[in-house]
Amino acid sequence: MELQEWALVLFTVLVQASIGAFVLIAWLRLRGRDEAMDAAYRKAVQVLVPVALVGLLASVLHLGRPLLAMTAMNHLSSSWLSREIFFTGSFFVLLVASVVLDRMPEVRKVLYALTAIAGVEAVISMSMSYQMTMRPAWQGWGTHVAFVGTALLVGMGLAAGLIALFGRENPQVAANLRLLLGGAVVVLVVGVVAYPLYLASLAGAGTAAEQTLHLLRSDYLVALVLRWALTLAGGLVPLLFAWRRLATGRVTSGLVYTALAFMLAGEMVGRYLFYVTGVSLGIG
Amino acid sequence: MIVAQKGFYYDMTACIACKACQVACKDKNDLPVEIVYRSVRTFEGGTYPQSWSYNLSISCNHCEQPRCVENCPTGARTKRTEDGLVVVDQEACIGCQYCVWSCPYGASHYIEDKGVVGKCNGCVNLVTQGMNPACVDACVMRALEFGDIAELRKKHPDAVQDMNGLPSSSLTGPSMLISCKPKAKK
Repeated sequence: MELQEWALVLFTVLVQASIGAFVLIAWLRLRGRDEAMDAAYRKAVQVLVPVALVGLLASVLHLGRPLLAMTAMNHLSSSWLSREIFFTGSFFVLLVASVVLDRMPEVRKVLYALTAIAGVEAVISMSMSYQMTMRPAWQGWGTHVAFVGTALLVGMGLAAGLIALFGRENPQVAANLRLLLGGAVVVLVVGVVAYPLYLASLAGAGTAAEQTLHLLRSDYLVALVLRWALTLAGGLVPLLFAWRRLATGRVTSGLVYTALAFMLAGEMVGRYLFYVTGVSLGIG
Repeated sequence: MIVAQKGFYYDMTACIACKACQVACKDKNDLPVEIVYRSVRTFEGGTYPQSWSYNLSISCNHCEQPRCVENCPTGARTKRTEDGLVVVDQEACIGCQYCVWSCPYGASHYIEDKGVVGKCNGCVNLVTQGMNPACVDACVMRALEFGDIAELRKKHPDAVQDMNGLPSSSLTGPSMLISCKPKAKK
């Protein structure tokens, strides 16, 4: 696997995670139920700027001629990649704007809504970009589930981690974390059910799809096991412990951070597998 | 609207896999060691004495619905209206390699030194002067022809677009016709 594909692993996972986290934090903040948490939400959104920036910079490293990166938006009429870059760029610009103009509540509300819309469009465009390739493993519902799954799972983990970090003195934090961690558990369970179905869909879907399946069973079996070990043992277990402690009113930030770190690592390995086992149909 | 779609005809029954087409293309385009815009591939199978093999010389097929053109984010890749050739403006290419993922024929190649993608452009500069692409003129067996795909179809009524080993022509509508050996026929 080339460095350029690692750039795409970083780009897709970090941008999807920051979009997921933003949408969740924006939703919590716009609900306006817990004014005391406002400062924690504000700081959490600020942290998403460098996270998304690292992802965006990584995407530029993927290009042969990074200085011309902006021209990737020239073909919005037919290219999903153009749309992906446009919406991802829009998400980042709007994210920065909503951080800068945070002191103006009315403007912030509008910006939050626009940022969330651009973010959702970015995830959809990313997923569509891969549908348009000639690699059967990337076509179909598997990529939609994988990308939305990363946005929700790591997004919830990231939002929970940041809220736990910045709002730990606040009594409202436990209610927020219960929502986010509970959501993450649900997404994880959906992911665990969906993945074998995705593998089953590759069987009998042509030579290229079966080649992908073969690679996952042979050369990349260790990476596949590692991907799910990180997500389940490293992610789900601390999530469940943190959830149990929250039920008794105790916030254990350490468990939340641990779950986030392992879920992020699991998604990175999963995305690495996505790229490295994508086999082109035909003689491509 | 394409005025007159140009394309290639390949006679598998005549090809001896000497790779003169591949070398002529490489020379014409001054390609680095690991890159070929036209490649000759050999498919083989069976067991002695019932073994079989057939060759395929293939480059960009200048498809009727080129997924690479649709997907190219910069517009560096276009399909010419006058002859339907799919060409890349390397000045505008940013080397995202999305076209490489978009082609079922492996026709696009990332050239690392330049940071851009290159592919067969049908030797457009020769064709506009009324000449053949370099690969066609280099073929010692006259197994390759180039011209209006409608004319080639009339000239070679048995030639097909689908064969064993190639993706379905319904995906992108390749401007390519092949006279197949029996084992290659679908």
